[in-house]
Amino acid sequence: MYKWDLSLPPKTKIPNHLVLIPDGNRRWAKTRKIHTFEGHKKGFSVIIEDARFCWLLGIHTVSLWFFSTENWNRSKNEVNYLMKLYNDLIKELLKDAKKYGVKMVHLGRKEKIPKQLAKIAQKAEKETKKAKKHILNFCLDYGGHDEILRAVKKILADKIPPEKFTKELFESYLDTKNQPHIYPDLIIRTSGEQRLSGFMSWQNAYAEFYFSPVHFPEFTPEKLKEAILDFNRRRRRFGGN
Amino acid sequence: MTVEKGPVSDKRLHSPQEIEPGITLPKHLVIIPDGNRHWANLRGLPPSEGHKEGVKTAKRLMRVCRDWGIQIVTIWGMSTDNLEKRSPQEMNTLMKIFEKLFTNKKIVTEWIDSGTKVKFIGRRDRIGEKRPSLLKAIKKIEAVTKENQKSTLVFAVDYGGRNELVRAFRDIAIGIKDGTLKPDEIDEELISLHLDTAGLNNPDLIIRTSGQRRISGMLIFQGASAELYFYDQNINFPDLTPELLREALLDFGKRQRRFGG
Repeated sequence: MYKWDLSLPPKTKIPNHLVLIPDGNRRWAKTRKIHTFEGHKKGFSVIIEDARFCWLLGIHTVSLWFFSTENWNRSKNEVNYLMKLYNDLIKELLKDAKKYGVKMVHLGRKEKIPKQLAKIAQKAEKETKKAKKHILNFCLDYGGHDEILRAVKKILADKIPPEKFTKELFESYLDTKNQPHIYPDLIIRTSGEQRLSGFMSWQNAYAEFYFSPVHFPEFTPEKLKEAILDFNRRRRRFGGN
Repeated sequence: MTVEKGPVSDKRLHSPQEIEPGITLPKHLVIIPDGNRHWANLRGLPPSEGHKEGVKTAKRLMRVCRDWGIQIVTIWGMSTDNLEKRSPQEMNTLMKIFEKLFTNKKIVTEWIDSGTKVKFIGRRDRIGEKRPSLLKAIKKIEAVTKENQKSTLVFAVDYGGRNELVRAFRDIAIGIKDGTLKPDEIDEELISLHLDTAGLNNPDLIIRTSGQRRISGMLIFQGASAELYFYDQNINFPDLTPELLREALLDFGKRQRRFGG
């Protein structure tokens, strides 16, 4: 039997696009006086649980920020460990993706991550490219500024005349191109950080934010559900009335 | 020093530095004033009264920010989406209120005397069409304060973050077409230089009133690493006192900014 309670009050609105910025793995480990890596490991098992919970609730798009363009300045030891862990994580997520009809998409730079990881990321994309029910954006070496910059460079390389520059054209060059729900509805960040750090700078304009004080390894589907209920209390106006 | 007991005048209000010596204040503070209409509605007043009260609040906050040494304050007056989605009547009234503020001799003199540079960000074409006299007032203030150095006040009028980016990309593309820019020169800095905020530091703190927890496209590119502070639902913009602003600044002072490291 599935261990989490999936029931929601009638008429609960499910976000089309949910973002998780998992923060606080290291801090969680620190408060328990265990190794940092144990925090990451525990965090990863929660990611898998949370993603599965989203598919079961019927959320269309889920974006997970694993590693940012700025995270390279962490210790070499930690970066190496994380990269190895992402290998396993993507393999695990791929298993679920096949089960629930999830198309996996890598957002971020492809060149800088280790070859082995790049290969697994490609494999996950390839093996799920026909899936239609859900999208999972896994963000590795991802930064919103970098995504924008790459898009601009590509538009210019394609010699598109300046007068043809529109929001729509630009969006067709972002990493999220061709997706039905590119604008996040709900962005969740854990561990008390109240900033976006450039996540989907372009796409996040009208997203609702939910900042949880809980460190990510404790942000289980139960907490995720609280966030969705909170999202339901928001009044979204998109600049209108 | 602790927070004062009972009401005091803004001048006598302890600054954040007096309460927390050595505190880091934001260099660039962004205010998203929300809830003017709701404030008016709660009092049985028309929306325009809420906007007028909001202007009063903005004037008061601009003064305390100046006294406390915040170098750049940006206030979002009207978004591109507001102009497209709200009633033309409300938007006309709002533009009239802005014009009144920007042509108010006392206020303009205060800005000149205090060394405040006033800058506008956002589209100008539609303001020019809908209310040419407002655009004229905007240009005039920018011209008379452009040499000022002490602090900067930025008003976002008919502003949307995505629109600003698209305009910047168009400019860059034109530069490349003309040969004034080379494709390999394009980096984050070059994009920043083509935004309306060119030359200004990126925001450090973005605050929003009335319980809305979103940024609605405000400085989406520039504000990537900004800290966010959201007031509770019962604090509409006209309720934002200097004391409440100070709370946000004290909270900012306690945050650990890691920039990914």
